[in-house]
Amino acid sequence: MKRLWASVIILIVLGVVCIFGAISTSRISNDLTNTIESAKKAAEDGDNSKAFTLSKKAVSDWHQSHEVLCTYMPHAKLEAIDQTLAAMPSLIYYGTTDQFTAECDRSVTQIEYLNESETPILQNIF
Amino acid sequence: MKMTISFIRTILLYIVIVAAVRLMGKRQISELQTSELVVTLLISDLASIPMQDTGQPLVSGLIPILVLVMCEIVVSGLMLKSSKFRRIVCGRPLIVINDGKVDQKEMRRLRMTTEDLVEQLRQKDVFSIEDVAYAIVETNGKMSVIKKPDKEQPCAGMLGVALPDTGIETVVISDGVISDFSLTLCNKGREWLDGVLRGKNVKAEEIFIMTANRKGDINIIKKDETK
Repeated sequence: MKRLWASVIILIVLGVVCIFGAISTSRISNDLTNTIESAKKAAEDGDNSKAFTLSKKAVSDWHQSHEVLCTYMPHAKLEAIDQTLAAMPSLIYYGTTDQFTAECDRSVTQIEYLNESETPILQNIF
Repeated sequence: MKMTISFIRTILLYIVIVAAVRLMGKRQISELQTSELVVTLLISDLASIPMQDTGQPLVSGLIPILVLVMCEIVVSGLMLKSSKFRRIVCGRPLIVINDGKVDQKEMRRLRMTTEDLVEQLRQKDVFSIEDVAYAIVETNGKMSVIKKPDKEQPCAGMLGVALPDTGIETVVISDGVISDFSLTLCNKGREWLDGVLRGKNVKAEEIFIMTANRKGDINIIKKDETK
């Protein structure tokens, strides 16, 4: 009987961990995608200063959320986004807008992929 | 740094797996049923991934291990409650020698060769098929053998010999350490032990093994003098 209770506790802990993982991944990726898209729009509008600030914010936000994500995600996936985001502030700072927007698109795709790969949908299960 | 991570992770996973096996119970470390074998194989495989690959989060190994432990507990609980469920998961025992006759159909079902049958009989100290009345392959794969009555060794009851009931023999002192639990098992106490040791003129610390039974029979092996 004690073991059955232990299995119930394990089930609850696992449920909490899985839901926490799914919610935090979704929240982080949504926030980050919004910031990057705003930075991209600012760059397209010619507001390089705002694009620079937003890209810096995206890098900073990513570093904060990285600590949470790396506890349950393969590190290789996170490193790829790390590298893309790290280059963005420099690109807009030196005025290479085309490359900056391309990097914005790339990082958004990578973040969306990260979110999709963690979502418990049929495609991911099978 | 990666070596340190591997080192810490291995210790953590070792603790988790020991706890998991304890949680799954004693059955997990003796004869394995189908579901238990599956769980044991999977856990060993799952644990090795985050141990070796530091790029994988530890949780990626822990979650499936915990899920398997949970499933195993639930399945064993259900098997305890429902014999039908138990039959689905574990199957049923198969009689390969029935009333002295080898059941070839059942052997084919089990994909058991004659060599396998004879080998398993030999492991049960039976060296001739003719001596066997019944041989049953249990759900855990082990064979139970019942010999023909005229081939069985006679026991004390059959011979009408009354043997004294000495009860369980337990190790009351192991490497100089007294076990109160073992003393209780053989219905003895510390006073009895002190009396025995005084009588033998020996201290507990000098004893390597001391066994005792309910009747009061003892056996003392002293520690070697030379270290």
